[in-house]
Amino acid sequence: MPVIIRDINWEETDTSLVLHIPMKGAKATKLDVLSSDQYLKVSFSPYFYEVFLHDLIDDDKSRIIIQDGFVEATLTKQYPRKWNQLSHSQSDDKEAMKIVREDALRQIAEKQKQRHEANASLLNTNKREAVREQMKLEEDERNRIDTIKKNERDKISDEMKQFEDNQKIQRQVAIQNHVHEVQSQKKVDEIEKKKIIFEENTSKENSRITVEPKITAPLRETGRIAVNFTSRVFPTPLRESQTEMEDEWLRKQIDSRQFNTDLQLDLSENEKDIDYLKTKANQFFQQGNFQSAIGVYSHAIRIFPKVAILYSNRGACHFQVRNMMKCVEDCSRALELLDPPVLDNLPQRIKAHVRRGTAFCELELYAEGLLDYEAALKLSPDDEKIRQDAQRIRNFLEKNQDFS
Amino acid sequence: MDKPQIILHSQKSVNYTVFDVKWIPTSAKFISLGNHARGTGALDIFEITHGDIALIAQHEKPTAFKCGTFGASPSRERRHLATGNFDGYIQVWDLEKLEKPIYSVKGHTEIINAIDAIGGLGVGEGAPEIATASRDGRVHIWDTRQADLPVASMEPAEGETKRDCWAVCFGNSFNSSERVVCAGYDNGDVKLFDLRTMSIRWETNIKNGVCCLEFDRKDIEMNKLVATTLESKIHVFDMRTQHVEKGFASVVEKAHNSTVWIGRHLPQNRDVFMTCGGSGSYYLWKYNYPENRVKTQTDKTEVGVAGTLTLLQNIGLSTQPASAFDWSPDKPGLACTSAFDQTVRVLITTKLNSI
Repeated sequence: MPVIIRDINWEETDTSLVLHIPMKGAKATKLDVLSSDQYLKVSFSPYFYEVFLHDLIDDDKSRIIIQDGFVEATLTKQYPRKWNQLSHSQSDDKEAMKIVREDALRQIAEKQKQRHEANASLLNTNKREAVREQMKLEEDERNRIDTIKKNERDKISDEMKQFEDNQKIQRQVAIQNHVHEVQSQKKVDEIEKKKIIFEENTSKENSRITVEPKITAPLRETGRIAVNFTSRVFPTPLRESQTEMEDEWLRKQIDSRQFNTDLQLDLSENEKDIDYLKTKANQFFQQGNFQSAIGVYSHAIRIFPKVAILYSNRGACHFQVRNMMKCVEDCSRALELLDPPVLDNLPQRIKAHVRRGTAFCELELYAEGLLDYEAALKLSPDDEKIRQDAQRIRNFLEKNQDFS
Repeated sequence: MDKPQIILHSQKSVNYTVFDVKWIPTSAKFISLGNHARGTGALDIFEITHGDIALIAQHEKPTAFKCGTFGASPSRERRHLATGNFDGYIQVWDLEKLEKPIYSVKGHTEIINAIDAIGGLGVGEGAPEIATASRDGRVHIWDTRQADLPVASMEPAEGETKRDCWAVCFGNSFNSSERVVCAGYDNGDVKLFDLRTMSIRWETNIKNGVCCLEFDRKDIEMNKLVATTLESKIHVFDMRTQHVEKGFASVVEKAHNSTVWIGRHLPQNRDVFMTCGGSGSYYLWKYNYPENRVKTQTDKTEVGVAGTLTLLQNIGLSTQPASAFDWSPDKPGLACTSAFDQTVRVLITTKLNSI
């Protein structure tokens, strides 16, 4: 239970008011003060003192100090005049006090907020100032470098002018020399011609005798050197960043070519030859006999389980007989095997994506189909047909979304 | 700010793809070679006047040009340009009379990717020769005094699948008999052919397709070789000491974050070179020799020691690959360059004498 202090002393002048509140042995650190322009509360547990002041004070200019066991509150009045009493006339009215207290608290909260905002805005202006300073410094640095560069440039344009003039003069001199030589040669010619009885065809070509320095070095004997190159499987130029992926792809190709020796089947030579099987299956496909083609491909896959093209082609057959799910499965398996993505397997990857995309669309899974078409488009951005098909699917999806 | 600065002096837009630019010896003019959209060849002559690039002459030829060089010109006053085109023709043009080439031969079955020439311009000794590298995997050496047939050729052996030859350069031509040709291929092979003994002197594989090769000087005993490749790699080989198994020592740098298309040494300082990348960036390098260029191993054989490269300066001028670059032999630091954004530019590098 807080104890209200009543035995306070106070003095006043025209402009200020001093309150002495005994601390009654409490510690100075436990002091808590709440004040507004007409309310003052001082509490240090378990004691507390509050007063509803008679008149308004200037809260910001008032001070509280602790001295000799007393809390001395120096309050500056807003209106300089004598009060003659400390508390307001309505002080005893509990209701009024409550209202006053609430007002005071509200005022204090507002003051807090204002102070906070003032701080924040001060911080902002400081920051902006700092940034401006920084920018100015950088600007100065830039200007300095620019002036140096400009000086260099100006110096150079002078030098260039000199250089151009020099070259022109040299050209003139060379031409002069040339002309002199031609003239002296012409003189020699004329003297000779005077000795000749009949006229010779002194065509213009003869007068332009070129003073050509003879090439004295002998012509090289024809020779040939045979060159061997470091072997490279791909026709593209060698790039260090691609070598790892290319090697992995080559290894996978070699692996896939080895057939599955777990099978204990008695197969004829033909049936073990992947090219024979591919040709046979292709024939069936061309004839429209898709089921047989599927059969041959499935057989081939049992023997060569890692060859991507077999899955891709079987997917095409499934598409033709409308087994869309199986087509999707086969294309997916083919894409798995066509990893790592090198330039060599690019056309196969594009085909697989387009095929799977079409199968998805036939299954009415348009979103998945669009994904595949966009993947194909990324691999081959110049293909107009893929672009148009992708756009059609996109439009179709948008239209359907409006309805749903 | 004591570092050399690379400054863009001027630039000019053209309406064709430029594949090569070369300074015309003893002049403030340079030529550009390229490919019009209609498939014909462009040969333009530009001059630097009043701080800008002026187009002086424009020529159009039936087939697109890929590369060119003035290296086999008989003299500095009579300039002969040797070019390689998309059809495999190697042609030599007299700049005063560009209507017809003075030498033309269908030297290759496919596009000529690179060309280099030596023995002209009063530099070096020995016969003036032109080397061409083509997609048909062959390197041919031509002499304008012999029509129709190359004087030397390096061809794939019988039964060997050909690889694209992307780069070629001459070197080691310090007297009238010695000469080597270095060729780079798209599978990372670098091969050094000795023309005096008609044999392969050295071969290696640097794991990325070789875009450009250049010796630091063609007319001295071979000193350094720069090889620029795909995947942002630059190799510099020390060519003074060859070990029987290990070959030549080299240092590798990674730069440009893209294909390094060209490496060109400064004519006035053979330890400074510029590389141009697929990101349109230009890097200026200096090679620092090690304390000892040769190391003796435990089995008494000598092996070379590679030095280090320091990056002096870099600049980004374009978003497209910088495909051609040529230092001016007359003015230190002046260079012409082109990129696939259909622009030719003139650059000036300052403070090169303080390196």
